[in-house]
Amino acid sequence: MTDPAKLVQRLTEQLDALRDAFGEEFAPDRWRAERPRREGAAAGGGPPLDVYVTPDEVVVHAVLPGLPDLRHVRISLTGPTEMLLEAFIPPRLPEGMYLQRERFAGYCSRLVTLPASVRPWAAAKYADGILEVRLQRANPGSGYGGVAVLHVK
Amino acid sequence: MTKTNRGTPAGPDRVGPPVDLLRVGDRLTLLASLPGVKASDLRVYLVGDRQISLEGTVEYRHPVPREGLALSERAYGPFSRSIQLPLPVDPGRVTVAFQDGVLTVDLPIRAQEVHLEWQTEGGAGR
Repeated sequence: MTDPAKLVQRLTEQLDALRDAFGEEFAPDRWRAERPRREGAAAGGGPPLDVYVTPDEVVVHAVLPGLPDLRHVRISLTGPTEMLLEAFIPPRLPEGMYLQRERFAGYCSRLVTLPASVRPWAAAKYADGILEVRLQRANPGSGYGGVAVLHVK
Repeated sequence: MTKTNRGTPAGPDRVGPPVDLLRVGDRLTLLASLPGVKASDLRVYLVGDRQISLEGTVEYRHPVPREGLALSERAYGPFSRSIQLPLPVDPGRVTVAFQDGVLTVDLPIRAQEVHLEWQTEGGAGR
């Protein structure tokens, strides 16, 4: 009779292989809890963010290491306080044979509710793997002291 | 030794910065994602010819205190990670580059390739 423990282990290995082949969505991390999670996958998917407000701006910092240039990023507003961030990070060495693969590559997106309403204009810059987006507030006001709790989708 | 960063969004099972290890031609290439790390805050060690260790710190640089962030998912503080290499490398020819938050370590493999002469059943080589 087949050992149930070995069966589970074999099933887990097969799911890992499928996830490596087809991506994170195929088999979520609960199948491989002892391994490092892939970067670029915050709790709800997409790049991890820091957000703060100043009297004039809402500032968003997104973790996007390996971004070749800002043409690979799209920022949209789906409402006065809702921002969609999309990015594509290409593989750094597509010709290489992977022995170990943990870094994120590919398309990612993040829909985030901002702590203040903003105008459809933003300044962006990229350094050290961090994208900074500065959105003008529609109604300039106080700084971080008046921040509301964010709902992140 | 590895450390888990406080507030790491990737969850408690994270064991350090994520890495890719590839074989490209006669070299191994290690890629490590280190967003927010300044080159001056990063140290890379080659231990013998089979291990790479990374150490560094992600400094908090926002103009507002951390408790003032409306959303706080980035990880800050010290990190470290050691990676065992599956093949011996030449320590004297290792090169390191760091750009856009990605560390690239180029590791020439220390091995001499053997020329293989494949024999067919009839005995003729090819």
